[in-house]
Amino acid sequence: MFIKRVWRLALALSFASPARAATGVESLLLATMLPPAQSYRGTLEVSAGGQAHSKIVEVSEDPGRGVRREILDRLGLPSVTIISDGETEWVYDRARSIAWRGEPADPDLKLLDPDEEMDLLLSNYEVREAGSERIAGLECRVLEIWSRPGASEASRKIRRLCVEAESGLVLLKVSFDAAGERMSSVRFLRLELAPKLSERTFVFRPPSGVEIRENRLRPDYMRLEEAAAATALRPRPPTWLPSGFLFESVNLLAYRGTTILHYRYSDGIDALSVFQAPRGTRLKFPGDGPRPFAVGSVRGELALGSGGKTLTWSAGDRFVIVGRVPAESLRRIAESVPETGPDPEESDAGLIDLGGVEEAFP
Amino acid sequence: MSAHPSFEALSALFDGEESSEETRRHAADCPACLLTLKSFEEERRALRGAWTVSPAGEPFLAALADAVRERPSVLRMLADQMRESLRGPAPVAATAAACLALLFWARSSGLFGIRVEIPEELFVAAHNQYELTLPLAPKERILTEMPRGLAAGFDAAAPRGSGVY
Repeated sequence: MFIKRVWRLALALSFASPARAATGVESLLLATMLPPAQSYRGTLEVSAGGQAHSKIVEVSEDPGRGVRREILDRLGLPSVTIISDGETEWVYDRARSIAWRGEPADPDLKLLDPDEEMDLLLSNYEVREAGSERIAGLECRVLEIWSRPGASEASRKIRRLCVEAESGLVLLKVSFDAAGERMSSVRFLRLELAPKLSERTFVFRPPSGVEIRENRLRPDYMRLEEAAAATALRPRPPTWLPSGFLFESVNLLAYRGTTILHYRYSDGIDALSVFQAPRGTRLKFPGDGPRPFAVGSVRGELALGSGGKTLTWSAGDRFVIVGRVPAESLRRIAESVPETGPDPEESDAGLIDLGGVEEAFP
Repeated sequence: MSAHPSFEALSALFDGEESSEETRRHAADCPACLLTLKSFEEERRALRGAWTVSPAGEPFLAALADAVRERPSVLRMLADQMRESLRGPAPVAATAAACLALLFWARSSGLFGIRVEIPEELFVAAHNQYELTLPLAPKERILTEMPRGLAAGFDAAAPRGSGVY
């Protein structure tokens, strides 16, 4: 469970050597990753760049019992309800009259340990305290997360977090893009700490007539050789990644008899996904569709969406990249995909020297 | 990692080819493998209607259009050939030869390799699912996108619900 992970991380930080002892700022950052110490109920405003309207979400959480989120429509009525008790997650879409049952995303199963993930974050980013601010009527300490300067890139602000010090709740979370523009934000408009929440808050009973579907997105966290043994696809992960990104794990997805490899990368803050599907697979884009984008001598397609950018091209197999890195980085990742994959038994994909930090994978 | 049989082993089991007892026993009890076998059945049903204009046929037609756009000279050549053949004494043989040439050309263009068309939302949903595990993930922003990704696929119908919400 997630609780075990963050408690292990807290223990690791508290017993760290003096040279690596957690600073007050890092401790506050860690507090935002811990489960809330008390229950809470509130209203959030969620806005993402490019969207004309922000979304309102009602949230209730009780540690040990679960979390409930209601996404409201423009009339203020619940349109989507998401309820998780830590083991089962329901997503109920009223307009479609469908309820999906699945498992919540569980970082406990990741191949990166919490301390490795925290080290990765701190090696790539610097955390600074930036005063205080009042959010939803509560005083908060402000943390800013900045990228570390590179050879060709200046430091830039990535995240701004307003943390209610007593509860550790993040009352405002702002993400910035490469140009320093606000990309998305999640802000509490109203917050009530330690309310009385009924048992029914975290129980979902599908209404009569609602279609129930299984959510097949059950991520597994495999090493490259395990994934290679489970599919006829010869894994061909990219050999170049943007600075700071580390290969974390592989997952297998299935769609109408087609197996897809999902290589997952993290830099501690952002995720990057590379997918490999068999030859002959095509992508179907919604709406206006993608624009042409050259990948070497091959014609690829690039689109902008909620996950960031989506780039797809064919190199024998079908490849897809989803992430928030610049387009040129996507091109470079794509062009680094080898003609044939490495022998998974001898592959060292996943090993990156973090300058003193132990390798993530033996 | 759980010890599921490989995709190839499940495919062999589905096709009635020789499979190990361990594979048969595992597949009979494993929900994930049963879903994979069910997807093979759905694919088989879709392929039965491959030559009618259906969602399964649309990727093929789209790829045909793409290939023609890339190689218009080939199509013109074939059209000229067919016109010539209709004037000559053996129009049937010439037409058959033109059709064979078209088939070989289509195969070399990879048209017969079209397997499946996958909605982009699925890839984004899988990416978002992983992003949720990151420590500073903007959960509410990601979760507001979840229904769109779920509706695009990676699911299977199950019994309808009943009871009071």
